[in-house]
Amino acid sequence: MGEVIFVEILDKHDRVKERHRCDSFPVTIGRSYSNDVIISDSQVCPEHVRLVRDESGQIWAQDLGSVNGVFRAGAIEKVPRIPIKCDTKLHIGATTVRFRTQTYRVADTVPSSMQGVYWRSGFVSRRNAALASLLMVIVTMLIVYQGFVETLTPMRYFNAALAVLFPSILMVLVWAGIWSLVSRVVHSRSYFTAHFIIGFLAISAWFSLSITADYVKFALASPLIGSLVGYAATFAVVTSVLFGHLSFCSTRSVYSRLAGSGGFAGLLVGVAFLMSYTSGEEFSTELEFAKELKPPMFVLAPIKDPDKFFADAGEMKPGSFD
Amino acid sequence: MCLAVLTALFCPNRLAAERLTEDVFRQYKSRVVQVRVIERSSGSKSGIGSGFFVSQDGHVVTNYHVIADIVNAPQSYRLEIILQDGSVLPAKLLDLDIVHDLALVFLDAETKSWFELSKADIRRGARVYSIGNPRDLGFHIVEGTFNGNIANSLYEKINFTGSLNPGMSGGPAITEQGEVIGVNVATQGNQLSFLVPVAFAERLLSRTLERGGPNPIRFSEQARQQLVANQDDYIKRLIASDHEKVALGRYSVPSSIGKSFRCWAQVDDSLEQQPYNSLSHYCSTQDNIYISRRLATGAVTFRHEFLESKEMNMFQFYTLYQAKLEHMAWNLSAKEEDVTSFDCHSDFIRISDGKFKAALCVRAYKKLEGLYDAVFVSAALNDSHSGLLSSLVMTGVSFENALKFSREFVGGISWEK
Repeated sequence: MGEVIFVEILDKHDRVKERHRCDSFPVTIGRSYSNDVIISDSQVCPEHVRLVRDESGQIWAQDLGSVNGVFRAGAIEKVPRIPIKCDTKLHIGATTVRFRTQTYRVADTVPSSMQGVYWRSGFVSRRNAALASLLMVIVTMLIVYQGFVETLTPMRYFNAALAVLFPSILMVLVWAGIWSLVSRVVHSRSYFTAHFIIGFLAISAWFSLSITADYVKFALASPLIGSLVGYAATFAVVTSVLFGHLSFCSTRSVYSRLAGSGGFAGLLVGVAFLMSYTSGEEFSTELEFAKELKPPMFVLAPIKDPDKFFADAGEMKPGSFD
Repeated sequence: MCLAVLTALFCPNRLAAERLTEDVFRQYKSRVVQVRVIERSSGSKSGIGSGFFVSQDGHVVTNYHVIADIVNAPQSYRLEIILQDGSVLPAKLLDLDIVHDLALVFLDAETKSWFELSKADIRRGARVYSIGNPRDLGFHIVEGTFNGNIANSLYEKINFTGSLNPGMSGGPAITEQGEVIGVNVATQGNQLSFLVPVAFAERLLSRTLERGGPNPIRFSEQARQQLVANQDDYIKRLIASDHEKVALGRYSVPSSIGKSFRCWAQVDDSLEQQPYNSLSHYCSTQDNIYISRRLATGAVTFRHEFLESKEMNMFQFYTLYQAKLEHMAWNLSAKEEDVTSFDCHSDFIRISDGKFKAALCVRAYKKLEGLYDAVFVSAALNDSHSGLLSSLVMTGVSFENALKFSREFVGGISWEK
């Protein structure tokens, strides 16, 4: 009883295209239908290679006088006879062939991948979709209501709100479509609803945070804290959105998805910061102070004496341009 | 023939006046010259004005704004003087008084006829003749009336009821006896024109004669020093003078300070359809000092706007309030060549037990070290349905004076609970 050998035909990315189990020798490989392993490759001869086993049990690949020869993977010299071990790769014509034995140890099981499938399927349950839709409606109404409360001409605002809402939804649809395509490629399922909900929540979060940031900026009378809050909020929103989308179109672990999203968000915020920093160097006739005005009850920062205010203002170094 | 006789009989004054004007022009025109600023590379004129001899040696008085290019870009421009007979002579700048818009130019040629500068004795309503070369059309004489010094100004100026036109700047305004009372400087149209009192020209000439030569300090530096000293002087004067107050809603705010400000109240009656009331009070010195084609400075203006609404909710009101703050106009026209961007400091401050948001923004003049434009803004935060926006704009002041005068301005705001 000899050892069983598996002949695997690989594609360009070294992924297995075909796998043949061979348990009796000799084994012939070639283009003609008389072979044990048939390779549809015009550069392969009808009878190209034969696998034989010698007395010691060693398996050899013998070139049967083919036109294009047999090469060890990565080598440039033809070889008439090559010893075959587990994981040996040969180039035959334009085809790569790999040999493996039963003793080959396969890689460890990836645990999250299967869990992810269950989790993802669970997320897009009918109940969750209903909850998410409700949340979306509530958030939209809150944003519209906030605008209603602050605006001076409610009817005109209503039209403006619609004019903003429709393009936003359209944008989210396109956005979700792109992510669905990626999911489809990776998981063979598009998860469109999930991507749409994530996109919509992102826009809502963006609106809500920008309103909150205005109030924070005003309440603390500190442009520095205001802009820090702005950057932190941007970072959090972008990270969560990317993490959410990636959860439906990546096979990576939770940690690496989080790191990837966080890294990208960090980069984005960094670029935004650099841009605002360098734009400060450009000439402007604007008075760049925080012009937010909110009702008195939102004043949280300490109120200074005018003398203290002017003493602090005196610390400015206006015109330190050179 | 008959008509001429009648006219002579019934309008003797008019005939006399015509003859007088003619005499004045004939007698004094040779003392008046045209001043030209010539661009060196092309040799063509870039600016014109008038001037007049004030000494036998060839000293000519004109306006600073006529020859400002010489001060701001001496390498690109030179001066020329055109005499009555059409002869063209090179001239050089000797001294300047940027605050009163005067310059003293020297012509290396003696003159037979010149004006002696001394304080003329003149009464309001007296006839005054202004001579100059308007729009390069040749020398003109313009009759007008002396109307005293203008009130409500930081600087002394004579109100001349006569038509001055561009090109006449720097020419003399004289009495029938040929006494100079002032130098043509500006117009506001409809026979409303201004003269620089002769005393300032006299001061400029005598300090140059005493020194016996041109001022050794670079002209641009002289101009800077004069501007710094001037703003120190007028800010001190403003702080020391009486402050008027005006009531806007529950607030009492600064109105005219001393006599230099002109103030207007404004009710926005286009707002009848709007659910709020707006009441404004605006004060300005309207005294700009010409520095260059791009830059004028030295004005102080402030504005208060009281807003109130009973119909709006507090969020609506504060949306409006914020929009009013964001759309405030400052009328600051300086460009990148002359000023830096603004630096701002903002915080909440307490004024007479009321909460206010305040900001002070300052930008520096690049070529006039030590001078700044400053804007102080405050917004009252004491009520959810009314507010007061105040702004103070100062151009061409020192940083210390910007702080000092803003502090004074804040001290003038008060609030009744």
